[in-house]
Amino acid sequence: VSHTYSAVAWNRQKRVYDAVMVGGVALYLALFCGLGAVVHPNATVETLLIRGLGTCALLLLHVVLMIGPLCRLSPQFLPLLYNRRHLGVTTFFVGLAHGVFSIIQFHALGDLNPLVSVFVSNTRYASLADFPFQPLGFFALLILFLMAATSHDFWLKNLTAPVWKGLHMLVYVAYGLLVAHVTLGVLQAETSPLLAGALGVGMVVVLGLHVAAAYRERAADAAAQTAGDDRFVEVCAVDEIPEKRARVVALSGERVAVFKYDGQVSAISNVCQHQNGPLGEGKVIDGCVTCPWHGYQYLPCSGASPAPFTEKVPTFNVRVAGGKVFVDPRPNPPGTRVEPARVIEKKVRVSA
Amino acid sequence: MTQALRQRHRTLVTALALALPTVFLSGLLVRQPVPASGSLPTALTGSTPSEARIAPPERSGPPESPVAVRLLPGAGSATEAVIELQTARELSAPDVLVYWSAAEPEAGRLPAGATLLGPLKDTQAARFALPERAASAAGRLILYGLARQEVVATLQVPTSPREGGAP
Repeated sequence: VSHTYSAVAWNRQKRVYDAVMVGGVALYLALFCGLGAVVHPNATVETLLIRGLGTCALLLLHVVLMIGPLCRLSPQFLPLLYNRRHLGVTTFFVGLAHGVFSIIQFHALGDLNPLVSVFVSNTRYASLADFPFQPLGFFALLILFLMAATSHDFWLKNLTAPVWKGLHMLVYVAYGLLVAHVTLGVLQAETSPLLAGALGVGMVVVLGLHVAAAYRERAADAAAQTAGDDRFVEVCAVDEIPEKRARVVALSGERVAVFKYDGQVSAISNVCQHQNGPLGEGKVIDGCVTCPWHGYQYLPCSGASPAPFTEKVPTFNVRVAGGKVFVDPRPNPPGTRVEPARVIEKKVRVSA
Repeated sequence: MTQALRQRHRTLVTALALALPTVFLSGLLVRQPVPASGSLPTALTGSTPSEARIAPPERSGPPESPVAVRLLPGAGSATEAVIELQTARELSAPDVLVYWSAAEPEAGRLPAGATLLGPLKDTQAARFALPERAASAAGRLILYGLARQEVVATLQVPTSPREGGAP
């Protein structure tokens, strides 16, 4: 195996992010249990803790799921995405605590194995009102465990980004299971409209953001351009590309980021090798295209990361003529150097 | 993301956008009404005396005539008598077995040498053949609670068909 494990590289931003996250979780639990004890004086500490942990995990999952589409819709939210995996792992651990306490509270005192009891204590699968909701939570927790266990870059490199992203898309299945777990579980006995209203609003927001982002991406893909006889496709005017930025175009089914920098134009794949982030939404920093998600860098003329890094993305042949940019939609192998197209500046004669 | 992943994402979120609101609304619609204090029967909503205490669960002491015993003449062979036990009400002890014994039970324990006749079911008549030695020796029927491992009741064996079996 060529991929070696390396510990998480901590920096100030990650520490601040995690401190805010852990503090927020602790504050939420304290407020939930404190207010719960006041409003429901007969509730036991165990019950308050189980409910506090469950609602906290569900709230965290909503935040995790909102970050992705928010970043697709507005780059202002990109700082939230930088450490999203820590938020996801925290969601799993809070959910795990909820599951363990629930199993101890409701299944540990019988003569059956508590885990077996989760699945056989209620078998009324034909009834919606009495549906066994606990197995739904168990399977959702299993998915969150798989995601948390493979969240490190070690697994990202081993599995490759497309496989890793595919695996982590199971989070949508987990979310569906959890909505059903809550609806068919606590909402069957909870008469207060507060929890049902909060879950309904959260669901509408999460699904609304994802559907909006997905169909916006679809519109961008639908605008894909096809090549002419000479294989080069006119993608935009040079002036339409901001300096040290890119114009993202869809060519032959995939997206290409066309960068303008220092009087040159280069085109590389829009898909970062790290987590498939959108390179075309990043900018050229220190001569390198920098991914907006986690800061992975590539040389625009070769698509290769500067030494000692080894990531590579495909490049595309590009030329500039008459103030227009033309790109050959056939990708070169990752890391192939392509001579950048020169941008001829218009010279303005000033008469005295 | 690659286009394939974008398509998968679009498919997943579209499916969720259709399925989840359906599950959510269906779940809310099938909710059973939770009994509130105002909807409880009058017997349960009456005021409770301030000194009221919850009675401790009843232990299985000798019940008040829970079982009627009847001798069935001619039901058995010449050397074998048959009795019928009929429970008058639900027994407070689970898993009751019927024994015949010449000796009295002591401290709620089954005497050594007691003969097992069979199980006794709630509100069902059960017939048992007495052992041969019951014809020559005086004895009694013992109701033994298997679950709690204790004697529930001792019944006299009737000597004539009309005789009852109160303890």
